[in-house]
Amino acid sequence: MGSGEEGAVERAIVRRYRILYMSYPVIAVALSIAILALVMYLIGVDPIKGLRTLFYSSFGNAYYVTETLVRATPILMVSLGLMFAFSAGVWNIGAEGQLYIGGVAAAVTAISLGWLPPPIPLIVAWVAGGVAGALWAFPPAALKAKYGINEVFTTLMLNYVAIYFVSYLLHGPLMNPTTLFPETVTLPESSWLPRVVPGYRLHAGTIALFAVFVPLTYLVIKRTPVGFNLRLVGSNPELARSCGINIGRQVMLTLMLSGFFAGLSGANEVTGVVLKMRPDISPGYGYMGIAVALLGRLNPVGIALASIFMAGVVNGSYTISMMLKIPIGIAQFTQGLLIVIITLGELLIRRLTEARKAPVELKPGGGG
Amino acid sequence: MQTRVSGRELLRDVVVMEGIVKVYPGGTVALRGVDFSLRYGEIHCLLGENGAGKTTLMKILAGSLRPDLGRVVVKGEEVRFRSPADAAKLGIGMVHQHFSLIPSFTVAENIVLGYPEEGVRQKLKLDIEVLAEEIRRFSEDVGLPVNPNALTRELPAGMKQRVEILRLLYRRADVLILDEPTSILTPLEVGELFKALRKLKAQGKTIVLVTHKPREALAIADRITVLRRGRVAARIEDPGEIDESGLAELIVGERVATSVSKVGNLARGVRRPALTVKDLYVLDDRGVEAVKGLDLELYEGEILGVAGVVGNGQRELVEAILGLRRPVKGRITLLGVEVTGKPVGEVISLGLAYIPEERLLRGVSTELSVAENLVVKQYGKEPFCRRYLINVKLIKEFARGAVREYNIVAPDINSPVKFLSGGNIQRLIIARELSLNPRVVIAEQPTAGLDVKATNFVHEKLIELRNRGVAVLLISADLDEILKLSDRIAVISGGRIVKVYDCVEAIDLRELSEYMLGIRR
Repeated sequence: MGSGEEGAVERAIVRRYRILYMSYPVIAVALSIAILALVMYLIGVDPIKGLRTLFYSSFGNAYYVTETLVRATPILMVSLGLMFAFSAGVWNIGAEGQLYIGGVAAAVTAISLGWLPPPIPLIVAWVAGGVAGALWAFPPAALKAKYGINEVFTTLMLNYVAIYFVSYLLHGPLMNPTTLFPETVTLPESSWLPRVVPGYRLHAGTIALFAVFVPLTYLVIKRTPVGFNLRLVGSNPELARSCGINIGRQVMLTLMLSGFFAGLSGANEVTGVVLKMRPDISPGYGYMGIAVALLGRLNPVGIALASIFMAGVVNGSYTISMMLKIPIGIAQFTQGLLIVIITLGELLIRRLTEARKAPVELKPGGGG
Repeated sequence: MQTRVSGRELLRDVVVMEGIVKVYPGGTVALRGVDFSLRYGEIHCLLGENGAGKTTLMKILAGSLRPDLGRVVVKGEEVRFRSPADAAKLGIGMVHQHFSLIPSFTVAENIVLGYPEEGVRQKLKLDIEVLAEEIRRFSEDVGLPVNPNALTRELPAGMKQRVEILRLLYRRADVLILDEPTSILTPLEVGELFKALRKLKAQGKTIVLVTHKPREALAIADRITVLRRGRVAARIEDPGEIDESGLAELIVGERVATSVSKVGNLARGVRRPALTVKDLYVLDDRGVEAVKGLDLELYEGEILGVAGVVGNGQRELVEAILGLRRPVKGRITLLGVEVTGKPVGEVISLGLAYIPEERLLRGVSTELSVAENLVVKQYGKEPFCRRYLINVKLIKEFARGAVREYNIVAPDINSPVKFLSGGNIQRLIIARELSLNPRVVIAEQPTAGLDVKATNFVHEKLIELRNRGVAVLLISADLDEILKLSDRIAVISGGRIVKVYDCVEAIDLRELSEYMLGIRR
């Protein structure tokens, strides 16, 4: 049983599979652009003009590019965290809520520690945001690890609890006492993320994310036993168990780690962009992160690219709805549709490549 | 293919299956060209060990599996069922080993559930009382009375089974397939079931009873078909001509004990125990005791074959040794260290390798690459991992070496394992497990579904291990394999070792099969 002829069929199959596997993100992106065009056509906008405007307003000049990167930052942060969970087959749908909790924790910390010298309030606020996000993921993690309760439901439902809880805080104890808007006071300057270029909102968080977090998470997921454990658990928990891996511990670890990243994402928005906590801090970054993690193939580099794409569409659709006088709801509708298409498409293609039957060596009816 | 069914057979046989071949994804060959027929109004027993292909064959007849080759003729017409609904239209219905009733529904509700035609269901609104009355009358008419208003979850197993049968009859099934119906019944209930089956036969129904117990077949069958490893081992037209142990021998097969290339029995000299199991009790998934007071001793440098019909506690025993399942009682000692209830990782690191029965479930991760699968048990350790980082280059080098040494046919080492055949997946698993330099190996059905070449490869490797002084626990339902490889044989039945043969050459096969089938204890 050498190699040669016998492996030829398999090699051809694998080649086809790889092409399909690689080309899918491209197909998904093309498909979502086509859907965008269709939506534009349906509401009476020339799709060519619409798409050109959309592209221009997300990548057209330096300012738009930096804005897109600023928008990509929270999405990417959430998505990198979800990558760990999804790799282990743990479906954390609760990043949105974890982000809100992280955001409010970061804001409270920054405000109360504002008197300390500059980098300290910022650093402590980020840590607080991350930890708060992780703690928000703790109940679903514990329920899943101990009793096998489906994390999809628990994390998803906790989103609403988180968002309304934050809303209560902002309408109550944390309300800005001077303006009486449902938002915190502006953060003390000592906790602001430094801006990189004067006149642009591009901040240190974005740079740190792309320059440090992406390579670091890549290293962890692809080159350490920690990452390998997660992928083993995700691809075959039963095998992982018989290799001596404690599944419950992996579930706890990944769910809370993804909560930590989502919390950081909230801290990033609070300390880098909005500079206060508001009830509309996220237009759904937690959900976009899910689609981006899948579109990016659970690979940090792919996820970085996917987050920029997603951010471009978000910014572009906001801009064109202003410029072409389309209701803002259409922009949000399109974003939602995009998330669904990418997520479903990714899961679908997985099914399609799995359904293949293993090759067999058998001559029927032979022998006694 | 030209038809082989004669006109006379068409009149006599309600079902004819010819040359049925079924290969499961993953390469396990369940049926290797089976011919099977059913006559109108007979009770036909399909007899064989677990894994012989009985359930697969019946699932094909009932439309829930499709054969890869072969044809099925029902009532004179060649059919290609695409779902159980197709089979139901021709009057074929199956009661599966696990009940498919809704526990919170009443008996009547369960019986009419999903039945789209005629009677009370024609109306949009379901009149429960009319329905219950109809079911009561119907059940009495066919001679299997039930209380239609009883809540299904409160019924004993025998009654639930009756509801399942009624459900088929209500759908006008005239070919009833019962898969291991007696396995969950008490002896009393078995008697009741057989009485009911005889009544149904008197009404002209055709019944297939799938079982692995010769006694039951003899008690009720008009004809018996014995399956063995995916082939028909015997067709018995007159069960009066054969006795229990004769059937047992047919189920297990006539075997010739041969041993190949084994260097003298090392174990007999030194006899250092590698694995000791004492008075072990283990529960299965349902919480029933599957291992009940099992004692076992495995020595270095021997292959101990554990012979037994699948489902007699083998799986639970292995899982308890590995640390995957916590025993209720008893002691397991591995290489002098007590490992009862210890975590899997600790047990493995003592030098225990495992070749699992279900390759795709527990042997490999089909999504991960060949290289990754080869190191799943050691990527976190030196030399593959240094200072928290995995050395990918070294893993690939190691994988290339393993692929060459074990002749694993794979597109390349980076391709997902799902593209490998069953035999090559098994080579991969063996390569991985042996690279751990184990001192004890548990091999569970190591050649199930493999072709001859791959089977020989596995056998050679196991003997090689034994010759090097490794202790091998070989758990197999294939008696040929056990006889060919083992230095000693332990027979497992009902969760206990009921007999140990210290000398393989002098084994009385009839006696051995009687121990296996629980006829002799």
